[in-house]
Parts: sequence; structure tokens; C-alpha cells
Amino acid sequence: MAKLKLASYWASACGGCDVAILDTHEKILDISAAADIVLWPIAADFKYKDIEAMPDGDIDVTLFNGAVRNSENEHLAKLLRAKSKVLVAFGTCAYLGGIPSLANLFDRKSVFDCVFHASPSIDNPTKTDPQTLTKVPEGDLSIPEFYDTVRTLDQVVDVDYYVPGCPPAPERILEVFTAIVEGKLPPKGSVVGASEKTQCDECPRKKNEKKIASFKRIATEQPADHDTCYLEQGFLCVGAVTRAGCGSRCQNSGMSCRGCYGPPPGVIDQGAKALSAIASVIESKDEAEVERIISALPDPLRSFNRFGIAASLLRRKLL
Amino acid sequence: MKRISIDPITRLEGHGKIEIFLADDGSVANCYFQIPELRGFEKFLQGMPVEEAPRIVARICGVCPAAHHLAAGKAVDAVYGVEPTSTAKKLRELYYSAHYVHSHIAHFYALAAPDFVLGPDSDPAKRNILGIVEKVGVGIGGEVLKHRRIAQDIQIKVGGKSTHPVWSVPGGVSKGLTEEERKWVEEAAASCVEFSKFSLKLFEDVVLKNKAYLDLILGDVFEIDSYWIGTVDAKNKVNFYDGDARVVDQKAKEVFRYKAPQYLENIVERVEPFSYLKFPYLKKVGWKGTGRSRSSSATTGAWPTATSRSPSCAGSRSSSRECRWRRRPASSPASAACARPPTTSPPARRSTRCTASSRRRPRRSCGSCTTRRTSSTATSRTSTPSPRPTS
Repeated sequence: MAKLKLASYWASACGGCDVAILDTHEKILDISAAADIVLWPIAADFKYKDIEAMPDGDIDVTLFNGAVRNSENEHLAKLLRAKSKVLVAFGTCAYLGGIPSLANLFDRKSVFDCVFHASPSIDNPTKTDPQTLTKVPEGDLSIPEFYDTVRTLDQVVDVDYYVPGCPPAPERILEVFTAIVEGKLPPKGSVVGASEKTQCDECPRKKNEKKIASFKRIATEQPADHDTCYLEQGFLCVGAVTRAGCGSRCQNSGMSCRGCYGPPPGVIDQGAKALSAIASVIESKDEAEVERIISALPDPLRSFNRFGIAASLLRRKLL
Repeated sequence: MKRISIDPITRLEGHGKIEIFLADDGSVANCYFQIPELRGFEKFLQGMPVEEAPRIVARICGVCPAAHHLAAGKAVDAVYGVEPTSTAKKLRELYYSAHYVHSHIAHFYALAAPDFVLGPDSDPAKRNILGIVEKVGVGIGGEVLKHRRIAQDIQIKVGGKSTHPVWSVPGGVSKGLTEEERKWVEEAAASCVEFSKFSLKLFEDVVLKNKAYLDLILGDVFEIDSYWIGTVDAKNKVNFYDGDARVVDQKAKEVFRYKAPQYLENIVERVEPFSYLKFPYLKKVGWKGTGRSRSSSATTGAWPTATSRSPSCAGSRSSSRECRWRRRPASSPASAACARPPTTSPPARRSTRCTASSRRRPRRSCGSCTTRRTSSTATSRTSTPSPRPTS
């Protein structure tokens, strides 16, 4: 059998998804035995022009990580879609927008004003902003256009599969890779490399009936009991509205679920579902008391929707 | 004017490109290092609970999340005015040290070594970690992968998760270490020390004993005329978790030192229109442009509270290739920040090197020397918005 042609690309990303591929450790040799890598900026020397020179559909599988934040990300998304038989939104940024899409609560101008002008370390006497085109004595220099809105990969191009996780768990990556090599991928549009259950179902902590009389912040208090459900102890956890598959990494770190695997099957909007789930465990019917309990939760929008604002029903704050 | 575009720069963390402009005689007229990406952590952290900052800013870089996580963790300690317990400090330092091992194995073997083990003229399609394994054999290659795994596993054992850690909380950490785990870590670390000795030997055999490579490293191409910053303990020994930021000049003489809370008195960032990356410099030295021979830019060694994604990570590859390996012979005069490659080296063979400006006129030099230095304040300052009243 001919070796597969495999590409891995990062758009608006941190590199953690690529490190997760490296974190398959010795098994990466199995991947390289079955596939030739044709693009992998973090680890291999292929250039954009190499991809542009390929015939359409030449790449068997592209693992595309990162959100679509700027015009270069969009260009690469479209280019790799055209060149790939199978395009996988790999990791939560490509799948749901991820941490970069927290910026959808702002717009380009307010991001630039903060980063390039208002930050306390800035020295910018000429009030310069980065420009898509800069004329220098030797010629023109270009950088991509920074958009107002961060998008998921499937808001830009057609996507075949989704692999959740910030980053995806390496053992799940191997499962996905095995399915690719064996031609056993599920129907197009499926979430792969994850469970059909919720993180709550797989969490090793003991669970009883949840009745929350007050919320606590990890900054000022710590869970009294290290074996019992965080939510029951008043610490916000979104495991009930998060897809399982990570191996309970955060719980093993002594931390509640942050929600990075996105919504479980059947849930359209993880943040809205979290709101509903939290509301259902408040131990009061009194409106003022409910208000008091809820108000102890800072920043509910980003706490409930930390990894998926771009994919949420909200998408962004009104411009 | 002829131009050579390197797009993207590969084998580093982060996005970058280099535009090299050639004069009529084929020499490099000027060179620009550009960062085409921006996410805006400084902005979207505003209004979040401050204790979440360590878990958000880890995503600045998936290759060095521990640096960002712990830098922000220390900043949040300061916001709450709490001093971590001695145990917590040791655990954090242990975690960071394991991170350092994984990151340096990745850096040396996956990012930098392909240029040397396979050679700068090797087939680009093979010039990567898999090509190295193919060349040195699965035996040695397997040891590389194994020890990177061990280093990642130490982090998982200590902090629960390697990429991205969630474990630093104000005043400490959210998970302890059992005696059984401690013993495992001790044995695993010992194995990493042995592997490091092997790696040093490999470096000596493959690089230092190769005259062509040595000439390259000792030549102007690898010269960076920069100040340097590293975090040091009271005895001026490097410490990756805590200590003073020590600034040394081009002759390794200490110029001054400062503590993390004095960051803003010491580091300033400029903005240039051609890059989304800011250009940090030493405030006490002042901004001298990007192309001067005595740039005020400083290259960070170990300074977790002052690393930001692109400079430090992009630098992790290039700084080794261009900076840290640099051992200027006593007789060699200091040269410009960006020197033309020696005429003996093949033209533009590896253009990601700092083979920048011609010396004929004052110029903006190759950003790869200047922008990969002292990093932004993202993690130490702007990632820590004012604390809200706590419940």
C-alpha cells in the first residue's frame, strides 16, 4: 500500500496540538512508517509554495489546528481544503474557536488599542499600528489582515472530521490515526478521538446529589475533599456539559473540568447548557437568594464558554 | 531589487517569515523578520477572574506552556499578596525543570539538530526529527523519544498535565506529590541526566568536531551583539523558576539586575508597522533602533516571568543556533548585530539565519536578531487584570 500523504498545519494556535502529536512519543515512528509528512511547520521544512504547487486533492489527510483569526489563516484553510482529500479540524481552536476566540468579545480596534498603545510597557510615540502593507526602501512588506472576528475552521471551509481537545490527548490522536490508516473513519462530520459520554460520566470523583448554596473561587478557597465532585463543593466545573475523552487530565491535576473537549453529543451550545446545568443545582427557590448565589460566579460568559465562543450561538459580541 | 522570501519559517514554535532583499551585486541589502500573527491575550484577559490567568496564558505557547503558566501563577501570588509554601515552590520548580528537559530535547533534536546531523544542504523533506531517527538509527532515535516522554511524564506526575498545565493556584499548587511519585521522578530524572551527557557528547562529535560547522558558528553569521538577560539565584547560578533578572553586556559583564515587580522600569516595547510582534528593549539603555551594533535589545536566558510566545519560542531555536552556541574567540572583534555571512559560506543557503544587512549603510537590521529577544510583558503584567473583590 502506498504511504499516505499527511499534513499538519497551525493557524491561530499555540503549537500545543503539534506538541500533542510529538507526545505520541515512540509511536510517532508508526505514524511516519505509514505516512509521509508533506507539511508540518513546527518540525519540518516545507514551505507554502510547496503546497501551492501540489495538484488538488494530493494530500490524503490534513490535520488543521488553530482558529481562523486573520487573512493568512483563511488563505491556508482554503488552500489546504483544496489540496486535501480529508480535512480534519484538529484541536479545539479549529473545532470551536478555542481560547483565541475569547477575543470575539472585542473587535480589532480595541485589541490593537490595548496591545499596541495602552499596555503599560508600550513606547509608541508615533502611534503606529501594524499595517497589512508597509513600504520600506527595498520594497513592500506585507502581513495578514487581522479580522474583527475569530472563526472556526468549518465557518470558513467544509470540514470532514473534528478532533476536540486543548490539546487533543495523545492516546486519542493515535486512535484517530489508526482509524485513518485502516480506512475506518466514521461518517463525515463526526467528532473523532473522543467519547460519546460527558466528562462527568468519566470523572473519578464521587458524586452525590448536587445542591449549591454558595459558589467558591479557587483563588481564595480550596476543596475540602479531594475525592468528591467539585461542583458539589461549590467550585465551578463544566464536566457535565463537556465531552469526555481527555482522560480526566484536569481532575488529575486537582482542578475542575475547564470544558476544553467541547459539548457532548446532542448539545448545540456548551455555554447555554452549562448555564442551564448550573441553574438546576442552585439550592434555593427564592429569587433574591438565587441572585446572591449566582452573583458569586465571576465572568459567567467566559467561564461557561471558555473554549468555544466562535462556535457558540453567540459567536461574538455585537460590533 | 531581488528578494528571497522564507515563508513560513519552520522548525520553531510560532509563525514567522523573513524577507531578504539582495543588492545588484548579490549581497544582502536588508532583511526583515516579520511575525504575521496576533491573538491579543492582553485584551481578552481583561475582566476575567485573575486566578484564571495562569490557565489561559499557558495557551500563548503550546511548546513552553509551563513558563507562561508559572509566570502568571507568580504574578497572581503577588496580586493576592501570598507567598507559596516552600513545598509548593519546590514542586513548581521541579515541574519547570522537567519542562525544561522536554523543551530542550524537542529544541535540540527536533528543531535545531536537523541542520547539523543531516546537514544544511540535505533534502528539506528529510531535514527533520524523523530524518534524524532514520539517519542515527532507531536505537539512538528511540532514546531521544523516550527521554522526551520521560520529561513530559515527570510533568504529568508532578502537575497532572503537561500541555496545558492547570495546576498553579494563588499561593501554591492544586496537587501534591506522593512519596511513591517522588521516587519515580528521582529515577526518571537520573535517566535524563545520563541522556543529557550523551547529547552533549553528540553535540561535540557532530558539531564541534566538524570544522565547517565550527567555522560557521564562530563566524559573523552567528554573531549577535546583544545584551542578555537570565534569571539567577543569589550566587548568579541560573534558576528557571525564580530569582533576579540579571542583565549582562556583550562581554558578559553584569550591567544591572532587577526583580520581577520592577519589570516595567526595565523593559519597554516598541511597535513597528511591518510586524505584529512588538520590539522589546532595555529602558535603561534606551531604544537604539533595530540595526545598531550596540542594540539595547536583550536576549532572555531564563526568565519565566518575562517570556512571551513569539520572541522566546522563536528564539528557542534561533537563539541556540545564533546566540547561545556562540563563543566568540577572545581575538575576534565584536561585529555588527547582523553581519553579512562570511564569503566562504554558500549564499543564502539557510536564510533563516541572521544573514542580514550589508554594512555599507545604517539600516534596519534583520529582525531575527532583534525581535527574538527580551519578551513582552504579556504574562507578567497585562495578563493580570486588577483583582475583583473575592467572594
